Amino acid sequence: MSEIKLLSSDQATITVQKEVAERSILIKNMLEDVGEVTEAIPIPNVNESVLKKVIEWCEHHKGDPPAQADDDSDSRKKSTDIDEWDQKFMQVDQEMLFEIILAANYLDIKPLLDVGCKTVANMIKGKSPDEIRKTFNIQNDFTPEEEEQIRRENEWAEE
Amino acid sequence: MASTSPPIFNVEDLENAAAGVASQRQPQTGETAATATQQPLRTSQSFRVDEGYSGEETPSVYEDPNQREDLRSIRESAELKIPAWVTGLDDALREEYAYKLVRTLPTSNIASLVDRLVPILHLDFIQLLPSELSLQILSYLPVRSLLNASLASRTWRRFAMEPRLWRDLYHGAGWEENSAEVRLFETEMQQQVAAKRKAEEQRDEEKKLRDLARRNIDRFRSGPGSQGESSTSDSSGGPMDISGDSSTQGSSGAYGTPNQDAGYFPYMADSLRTIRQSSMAGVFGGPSAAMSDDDDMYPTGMSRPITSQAYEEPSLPIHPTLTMPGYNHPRLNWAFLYKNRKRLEDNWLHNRFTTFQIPHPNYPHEGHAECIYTIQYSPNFLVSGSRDRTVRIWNMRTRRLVGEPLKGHTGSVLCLQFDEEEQVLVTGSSDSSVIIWKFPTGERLKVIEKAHQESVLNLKFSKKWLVTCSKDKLVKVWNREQLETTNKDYPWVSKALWATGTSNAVDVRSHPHHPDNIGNNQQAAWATWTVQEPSMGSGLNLQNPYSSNDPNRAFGASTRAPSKGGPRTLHPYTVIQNLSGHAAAVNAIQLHGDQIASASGDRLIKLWNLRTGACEKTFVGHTKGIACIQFDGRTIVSGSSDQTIRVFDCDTQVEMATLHGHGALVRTVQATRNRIVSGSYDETVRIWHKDQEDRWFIGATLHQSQCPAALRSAAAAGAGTPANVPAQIATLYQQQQPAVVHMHQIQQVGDQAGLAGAVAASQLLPTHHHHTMVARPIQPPQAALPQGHGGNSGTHRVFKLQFDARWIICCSQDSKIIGWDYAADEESVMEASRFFKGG
Repeated sequence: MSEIKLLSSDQATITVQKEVAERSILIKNMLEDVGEVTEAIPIPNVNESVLKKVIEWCEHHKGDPPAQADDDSDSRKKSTDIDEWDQKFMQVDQEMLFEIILAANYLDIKPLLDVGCKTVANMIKGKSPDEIRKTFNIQNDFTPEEEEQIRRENEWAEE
Repeated sequence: MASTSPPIFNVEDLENAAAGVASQRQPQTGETAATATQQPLRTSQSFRVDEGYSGEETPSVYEDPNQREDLRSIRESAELKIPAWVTGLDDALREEYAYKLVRTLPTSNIASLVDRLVPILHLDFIQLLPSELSLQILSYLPVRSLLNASLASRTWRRFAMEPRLWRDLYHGAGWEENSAEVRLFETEMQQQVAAKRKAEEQRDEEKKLRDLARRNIDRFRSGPGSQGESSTSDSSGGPMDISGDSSTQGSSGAYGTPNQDAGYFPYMADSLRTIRQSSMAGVFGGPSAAMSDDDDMYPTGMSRPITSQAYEEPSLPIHPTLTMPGYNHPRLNWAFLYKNRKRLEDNWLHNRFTTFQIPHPNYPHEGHAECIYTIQYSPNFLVSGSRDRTVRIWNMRTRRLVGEPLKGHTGSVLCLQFDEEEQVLVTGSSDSSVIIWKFPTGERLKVIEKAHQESVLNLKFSKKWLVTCSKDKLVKVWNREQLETTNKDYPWVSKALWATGTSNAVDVRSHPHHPDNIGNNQQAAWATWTVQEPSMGSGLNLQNPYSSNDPNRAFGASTRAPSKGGPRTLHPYTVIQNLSGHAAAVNAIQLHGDQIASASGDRLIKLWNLRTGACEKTFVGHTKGIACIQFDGRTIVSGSSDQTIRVFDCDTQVEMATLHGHGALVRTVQATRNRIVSGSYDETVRIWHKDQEDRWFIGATLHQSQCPAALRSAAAAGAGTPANVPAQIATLYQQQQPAVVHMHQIQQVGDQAGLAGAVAASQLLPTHHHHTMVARPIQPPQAALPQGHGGNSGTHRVFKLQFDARWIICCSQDSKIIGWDYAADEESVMEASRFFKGG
């Protein structure tokens, strides 16, 4: 099993199986373009701790069948179901979750990106506006009148 | 547990640990602390602060008073290194250590620490993530959650109301859009804006010239000073560089005149961009005028920092409107469409509608003289065919007659179809003829005198073909355009033309244009022409004329003799196929691509291949004759004299549902994915909905009588003073219970001869006797209703209906056409409904 090295934004070198790293389409394409590489591949947008976390995910999912390249509407499915391991994996603080989502986006790891976004969606689901504000530390910038008007406007969905 | 993510070590930390612990100090502590708070979180040191483990208590704590002294004096900063021995502790110990450390601080510092920690635990993802990711997150939310999210903040609202999300939700709800109407609308918006922008650009150009002149003067005056100005402008415009890219390039072409100083140019481009943005923002509420088409679908991440600094984006209106500001042009607001579609669907479920009638109550003289057998409507026109032998074209908006009634048939007009775009109307009659009219002028283009031996009961046409069916048990296929032998649609496989397999058969295979004689590369195009042995089509084929050697039996007397001679040019409206196999009148047909579904009094539904004339499938299920059929390529829905509606899966031929409810022959049916509407001789129209488990149930029962009564009274009241009568008389019904109101207490039947088409199904069924014309009392109406207009009294057997997302329109034994409008006078629903499709 061939291995490659990745260089995080904070200059840490991480050795990883090629197969694992290739869960990232960005790295996969890069390797295809460059061929064999001995020196570490720089991943300038991801720091070590996040990169390790992402690699942990890739390790666990290395055997997954390749995601179908079908249209988004299908894969999104509106379902926020997340498998158990991923759920546990995503039990991190919001900052780490944020970084994982950004890294998955940058590294082009669609299934990880989906899991990340679904995790955030689940944090929104079923919450009142006020609970949502608390969860995400959002400043309410509506005037009370506006808020009341919008609340009333939104009532159409109640039935 | 903790083992899944080991503590994170930093190489530098380890080195520091070796060199000596925590001896570093920051020289300007106060300042760095201040800057550290402003730093984006993503660049700050990230340690797992896992909420999941915070509950653990660990008593043993490593403590060193000296070091504690040291640490107390150190203010945290981005560059502060945490000693390796701390990072080496497990999570619980590290937490405990941190807690002790925090408790050494004065309360005010703890408070400020909490302020700094909150954003770590609570991040505004929607605000901070790139917008496409924010939208992806929101795309997983159901409507209710999305609306709650829209109340979190202005930014969240902007994202939550993004039309794309709502378009997905709209389709996710199983609703269809009228994509032609959507495209048309979007094109209009783009064109409008393109015109506006042209004007804007002209103004920009002038502004630019003025600017240029001013800059040149400035430059002349201050010399190198402009250089510094340029750089400040650059840095302030920094975040815009990507989103503004195309505009920069666009300007370089337009403004990069040869005599301009190249070093000077960036400044120009920048200021131009700013000008254009501010002017565009004023008009459309978008920060950037020139972005790619893809970008304009999203509020981009790049634009956000600027929008918050540069100017206040206008807030979205509280109540959604049809359009929404876009960066290039207003966009169709799918949140508005969703909301109004939901309202419309709720109106269907709760039986809220207004009713109308054609002819307009103020112009009763425009109406048919006798009952109406057939109708079809489009958003602009309605066409009706009556027992009075005329065809009438109506304006759907004014509900007034368009032109004169079309005369030509010598019997009842039983079936029709029109195509507004093609400007053609085809009608079939009990006089056995078919007439092709120019639409809507009513010019007679072609009369097929003896299209069938008996009444033409139904017809359907596509671009190329016309299909008719008759009481004479036949289905016929006609070409609509002239066919040369070189045409790929030329009917080489046609028993009607070449009498294949009979004594007077014509050998078409020798013709040079026959697909067999054309090069192999052409073969693919002819693939549809493979002949299928009719006998192999279906084991259920009750009667297969072609399995017999007797050609007379095959075609009956109705078929013309096979054409003399070989293949030749076929004139329009030549019989291409005779589909023979039904043992009774063929009451209804449906055309879908090259497939024809036919429903007959022989209780069978047959599926035919238009090209080969072969019967490919036969559907068994109904216990009495079938009167109506709908077929969309996958599902067949049929209504029968056995009083049921049956739903068949085309592929498997399985009967998926049987709908019981009507009390008499089901004469007309239409179905969408979520809704079936049927009309019956029991004088009701029933609406069937599909529940979560895909089972059909009756949603409402509409009685023909309900609306004419209301309309009539309204018309009568206004008869004396027409000015007081509203242009469209509509009565709003809001009922929680399905309506049960009847128009007439006593039902009277018109003369039987006029119902030839109507009752063909039942007549041909030996077991069926229900059509004995006996006056039958019906339960009295809830309100005393005025008696019907003179001459128009009769029963209200429903003959034909059509529905879409908003309307059900139906005709009956009455001479009036009745419509139910589920927009129920709600303006926004009416405005939105032109974008809706399906039921």
